[in-house]
Amino acid sequence: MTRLFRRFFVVSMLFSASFLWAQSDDESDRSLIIVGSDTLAKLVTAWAEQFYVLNPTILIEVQAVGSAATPPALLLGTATIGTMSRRMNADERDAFTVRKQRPPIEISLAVDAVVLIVHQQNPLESVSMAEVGQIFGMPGTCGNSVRPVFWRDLREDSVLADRKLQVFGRTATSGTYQYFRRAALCDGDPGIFVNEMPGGAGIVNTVARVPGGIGYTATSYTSNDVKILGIERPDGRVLYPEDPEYPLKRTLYLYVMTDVRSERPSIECEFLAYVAGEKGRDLLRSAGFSIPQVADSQSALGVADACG
Amino acid sequence: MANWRHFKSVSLGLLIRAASFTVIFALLGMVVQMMVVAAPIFAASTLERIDSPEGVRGALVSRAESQDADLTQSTYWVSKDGWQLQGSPGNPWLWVHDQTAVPLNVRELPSDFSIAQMVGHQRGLAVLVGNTLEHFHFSQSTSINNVPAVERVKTVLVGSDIVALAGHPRLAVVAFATSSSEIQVVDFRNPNASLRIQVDVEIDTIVWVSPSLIRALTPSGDALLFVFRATDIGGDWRRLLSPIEYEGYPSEEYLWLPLPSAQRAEPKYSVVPLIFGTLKAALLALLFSAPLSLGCAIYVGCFMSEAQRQRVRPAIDMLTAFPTVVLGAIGLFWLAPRFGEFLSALIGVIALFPILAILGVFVVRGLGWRWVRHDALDDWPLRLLPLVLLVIAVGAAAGLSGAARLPGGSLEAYLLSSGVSISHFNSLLVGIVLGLAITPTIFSIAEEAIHAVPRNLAAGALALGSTPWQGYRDVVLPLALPGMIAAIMVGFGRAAGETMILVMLSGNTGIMDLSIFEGLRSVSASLALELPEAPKTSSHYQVLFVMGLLLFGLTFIVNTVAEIIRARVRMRVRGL
Repeated sequence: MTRLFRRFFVVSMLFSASFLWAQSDDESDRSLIIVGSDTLAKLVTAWAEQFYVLNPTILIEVQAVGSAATPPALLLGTATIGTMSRRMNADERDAFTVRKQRPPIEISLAVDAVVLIVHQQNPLESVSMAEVGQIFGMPGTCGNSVRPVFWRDLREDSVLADRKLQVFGRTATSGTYQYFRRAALCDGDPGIFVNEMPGGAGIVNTVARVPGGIGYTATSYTSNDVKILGIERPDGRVLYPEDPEYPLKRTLYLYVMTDVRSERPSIECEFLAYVAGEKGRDLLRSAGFSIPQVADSQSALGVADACG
Repeated sequence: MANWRHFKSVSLGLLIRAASFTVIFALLGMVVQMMVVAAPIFAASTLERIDSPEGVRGALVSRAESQDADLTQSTYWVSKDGWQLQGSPGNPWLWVHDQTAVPLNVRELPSDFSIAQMVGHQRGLAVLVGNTLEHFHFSQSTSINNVPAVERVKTVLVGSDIVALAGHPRLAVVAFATSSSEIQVVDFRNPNASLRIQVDVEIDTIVWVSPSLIRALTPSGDALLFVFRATDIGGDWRRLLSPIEYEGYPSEEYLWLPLPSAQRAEPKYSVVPLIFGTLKAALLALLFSAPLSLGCAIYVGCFMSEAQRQRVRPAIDMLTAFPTVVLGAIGLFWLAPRFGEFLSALIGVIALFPILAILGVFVVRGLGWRWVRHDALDDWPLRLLPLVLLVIAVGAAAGLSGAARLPGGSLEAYLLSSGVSISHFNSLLVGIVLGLAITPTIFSIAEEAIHAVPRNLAAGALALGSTPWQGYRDVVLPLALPGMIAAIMVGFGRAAGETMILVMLSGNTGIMDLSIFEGLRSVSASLALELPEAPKTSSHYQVLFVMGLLLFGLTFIVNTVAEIIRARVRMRVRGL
């Protein structure tokens, strides 16, 4: 008993010592925490890596859990920069304004398309927006619609005929889900039959394996294992994500907690200047996003300049 | 020295007691904390008058929602494909689309109304006829010739003359002012709980400024402000459990659609699909796991030699701690993509195992191989392993080749031609992987119960002339039965609380379908997926905590009953 007790004591001492040591080591304030959208995770991670190479003294941490995590993180100060794949809604903006006495700094970061994907061997090439509503929504969400259960309900001659449509989407807290609900489901209810996956990559990987699968995801997650569907306009033209008129395009946002004008937070400014600069833009484009042409809020360059 | 020993034992005892009390109190505290978080969901709606907008949050007032801004006075509702509902007091209602106009029957929608207002997120209509308020829904899924269908949902009798009426922007709630200067709020979802406030001035206009703020105007233009606070279930706990006829749906449904941050849609919080999913997954897991683990426990507990048991039991106990996320990943990457083949092989093994195993033993014994003699069973059971593996391999091969001979060439194709389509993430897949996860737990407890029965009872039966199996079947197992039931209950509790496997493999589809080839959504997976990101004060967050408590209650009761049974069995067996 005594031996056991002594051993236990030594182990616990070691533990607490290491804990204290880790604490004291963490004092440096040259660190930047970015939280937010899963859609932007890849890009932000790539940025963070390159930014770290350029500025090795700044520790940078990226947490990608979903857009809904950004407002509370900025509010509580657990992160100073947040990304969102949708705009902050009025409640979130209000909460921030009430707490900080000013609205959050909002930056239109990038433009991204939400694409519909199917299995490589699926003969389907394009769908209309009305069909998207039928496939992903509860019956009746977008006009008078009946849900296609089997592939032959959607296309008479589909080789998948009697196979069920297996529909994959994001979980309710994702910004992509909310964007898709608004833009493609006429603000109605998403179907309860939709398989909800925690991340965009999971949808791509699953649809790549399921012959009868169809899903939606951000462009940046797509791979060559899945086929991207075009969207058929009523006039018969088929639009692909590269087209400027593609209907499922949205702006992704970046929010800064600290007021760059008055508080002059050096690290946030350095990061924004990097993002707005040549290197940051190159990474943004290579990750499959484009730079907003008409910004509905401030541009990264503008905010970085305001830093002075 | 003796004093020191005494002091040490006393202090150690105190330490242990203090630690256990701390744990118990911490647990209780957590439960109380969860209740405190969850409780506001059941709060009744309130209506109170405030003097200035500063009483509410400053930004709220500025955010007036421009209701029906683009609609003319007589147009009330526009369907997604362009049908407009037009009406004016005294005339029949009309559905108008381009050049066509379809008049509505007065039985469908009364024409002798005085005021009509949209209510909810552009889906319902509140119509005042005399002293009754009627609430209508429109749905397009049950329409004839594309004309949307009208359905009367509720009729509420209001006592006095209404002079102004306004529909809530999100919920099926109306606010109105009466000629006797009273402001009332009626919730169509729970009409018995209407709220009223008497004011001392005449009111002629009433508007919802935001989902929680009502502004009433006097004829001279003075504004009165009222704050309406309601949870998303309107203070009616039955909305969590009973089927609800939601706006825009043709029939009563159980739906889990929390729709966070949706400004103009009604969130739907029925916990029934999730509880159904949890029970379905747990029962399927038991169906798969109980025969396996109990069979294993009976073998180890009854037939294995003590030396062997000492080696096998800790190994299986270790498996209890096997991380379920690894099992989930195996299911996701290995099992799910080849589920059809796996299923054919499994059916082959289950169907052929008994026959092949008995046959195998006879053949091998017939050959006179010493290592499978009867006494070797006790001595070194692992020698049987090659035989078992061979039998499994033959069974699986038979299953696979049998499936290939089915019309269509595979089990999936055959099921497809008979009208059954297997979803990629389905309940059977969840049941199998979850069953594997709980097997060590059930085995461990059941084996303990069997082993606790004194062996001299079986020996006595042997001495009286029974075969070993008769002895175990009629003497040992009946005594161990309650313990085995307890083991199954603990397994059930574990399966109900398991999260990672369900998040990864269940598809998280909130459908209530008895088919084992469809997906499911469990309480635990919903908590894992939604709780971290639900806003802290939202109804969504509170409902999730209610479900957490339900889950806790379920597993707590099941585990406690199981523990009581185990304790009683231990007492009974000790007397033997």
